[in-house]
Amino acid sequence: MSDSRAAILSRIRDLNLEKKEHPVIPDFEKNGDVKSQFINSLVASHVSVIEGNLDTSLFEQITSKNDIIYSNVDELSSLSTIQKDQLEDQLTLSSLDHVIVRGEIGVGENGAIWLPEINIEKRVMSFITLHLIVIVSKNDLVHDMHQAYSKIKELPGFGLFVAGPSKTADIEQSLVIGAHGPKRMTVLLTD
Amino acid sequence: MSHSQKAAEFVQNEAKTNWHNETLWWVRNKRDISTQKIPEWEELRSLGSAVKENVMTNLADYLEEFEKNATANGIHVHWAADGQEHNRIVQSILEQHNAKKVVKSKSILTEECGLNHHLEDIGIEVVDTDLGERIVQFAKQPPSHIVLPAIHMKKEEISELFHKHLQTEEGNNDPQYLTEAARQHLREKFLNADVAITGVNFGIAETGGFVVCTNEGNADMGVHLAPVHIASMGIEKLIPRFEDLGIFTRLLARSATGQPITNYTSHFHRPESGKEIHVVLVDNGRTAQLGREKFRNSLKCIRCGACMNTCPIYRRSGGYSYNSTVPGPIGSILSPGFDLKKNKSLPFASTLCGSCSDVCPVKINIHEQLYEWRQVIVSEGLDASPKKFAMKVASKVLGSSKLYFSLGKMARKSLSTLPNKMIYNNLNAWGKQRDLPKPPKESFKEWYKKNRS
Ligand code: SF4
Repeated sequence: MSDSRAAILSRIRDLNLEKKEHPVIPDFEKNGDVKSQFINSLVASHVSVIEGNLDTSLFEQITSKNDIIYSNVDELSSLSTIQKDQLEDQLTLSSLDHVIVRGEIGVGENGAIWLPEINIEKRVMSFITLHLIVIVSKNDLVHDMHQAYSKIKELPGFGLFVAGPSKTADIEQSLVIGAHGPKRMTVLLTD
Repeated sequence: MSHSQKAAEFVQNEAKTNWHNETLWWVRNKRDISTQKIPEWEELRSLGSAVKENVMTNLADYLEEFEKNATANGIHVHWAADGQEHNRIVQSILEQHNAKKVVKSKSILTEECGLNHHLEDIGIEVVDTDLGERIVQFAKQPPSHIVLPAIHMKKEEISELFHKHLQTEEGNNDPQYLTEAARQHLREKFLNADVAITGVNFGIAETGGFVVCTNEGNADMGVHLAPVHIASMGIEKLIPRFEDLGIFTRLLARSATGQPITNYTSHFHRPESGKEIHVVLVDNGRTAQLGREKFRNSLKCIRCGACMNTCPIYRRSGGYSYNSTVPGPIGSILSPGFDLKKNKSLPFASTLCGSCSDVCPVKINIHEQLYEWRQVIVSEGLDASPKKFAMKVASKVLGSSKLYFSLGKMARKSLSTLPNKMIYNNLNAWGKQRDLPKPPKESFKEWYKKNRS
């Protein structure tokens, strides 16, 4: 195995290619109101957006009585209908109706939201639930991906930009929401 | 079979060919609308190209940096000189874990290595989990497009396949219904998989991590449920820095489908506790391509598929006409590097209109490289098309004005009286799907003499 390593590296080095510099990424001009850009991007990606505060009563409108809910947001922990240790069981995971997590950064140009693993509890959680609810603070919005990446100071073992419910257009290019993961996504934009 | 022979098969179904053509052009239009929303789009393309230039010319250093940082992150890094070695490495990881069930998300590289066949031969169940890839897997076909694997199929055909494999209602062609059936079927596969295999969109040298982009979330469903994640990565997939992702996440989805970003852009740096991540770095002809100065640029490709969607040949000839893992314009410059003889017809499957180079997010000079391959193929005497004979004759005739005018006169007379068989035969490759225009009574020179002198 290590033979191939040495062979590949020496094949490359033997070419003696003239080294080209890494370019400098300029500070692109940012225009417009980032909040409305963010909301427009999300809506275009089939995400429902609510503006409001972390008030548990808000969630009564978007959940139903016997739903299975897990909230990884401390202020909303009373909404959880299952305990943390139950997430170890894959069948329980697979029956999750709503998962509530906090997003760290929201990107205006595409609606992407950064979810580091510490905000998710189990990595699969934000994919396996039927409905993903993400809380984003208006103070954490940026215009574009360059700004977003420069804000990520600590690299999580796993982190994700999520930009909408799971979707596919693999059958004749007809859009279907809910391919494998969430069929629904809601963003709560807080002050 | 040559490209034109395979294309002839595809165009037999005229309605489907038209649909294929129009649908891909529609995707191309979505790309245009989406890229026009970014004022610095052209600058971004140049940046993407320059970053990849930096990668190509420092590849060995970046590979070592990636390996060092990934290992420190607790990721196992493997090196494979070719597809077979890649498959053996994957097999040995599966054996260590006694794995029998594998879920796989879209990976053109594993397709290139023939991984599925290799694993199936040793009794392992491999399930492709991207909806399009699952469809073609049911049909026992390879993907016909790198981003839209089942774009050559109509919903009626998919419905039939699902009826057979997933017991869906016969004749129910509703995409929503069919997707739901696949969701249920694949959910069960995800929950029971021993190992999940994915491709890699970007490997980051500076941080020793990698990024996988999907819309369906199938890669993540697989890897976060299975105890072991194997990521297969071509060595050209590296980018130097974490900040470079800002460039490439903006370029990729807009070029591919016109979306502003893929739904899920997942960044892997350390395994979840109690789990494993393996990265297999694969050469398989890439260092050879790096050594071909005129074709080196093709390694910048981020596999967005834009050159396919825009190509007037691809849209009308379908992905299978190229008979290689990566079809379309970029495939036609990559495949001759693997096997020039087998793929010698591909660089000719182009009008050299340059539309591919115009849309390419990393500014690969695709049409120029196609032209370069043509030179190589002709100079090695590999082109044996009927056009070659015709071209030889043409160069004689066009080289002598006397011959040109007397033959012209003859042709104007004989074309209107000769039987079709004499005109449309194997020597006339241009006459296959086209009719010659009616020959004029006189040449321009004769007309000019009469009227203007
Ligand atoms: S060559 Fe360019 S346009 Fe074609 S798939 Fe690669 S990156 Fe996209």
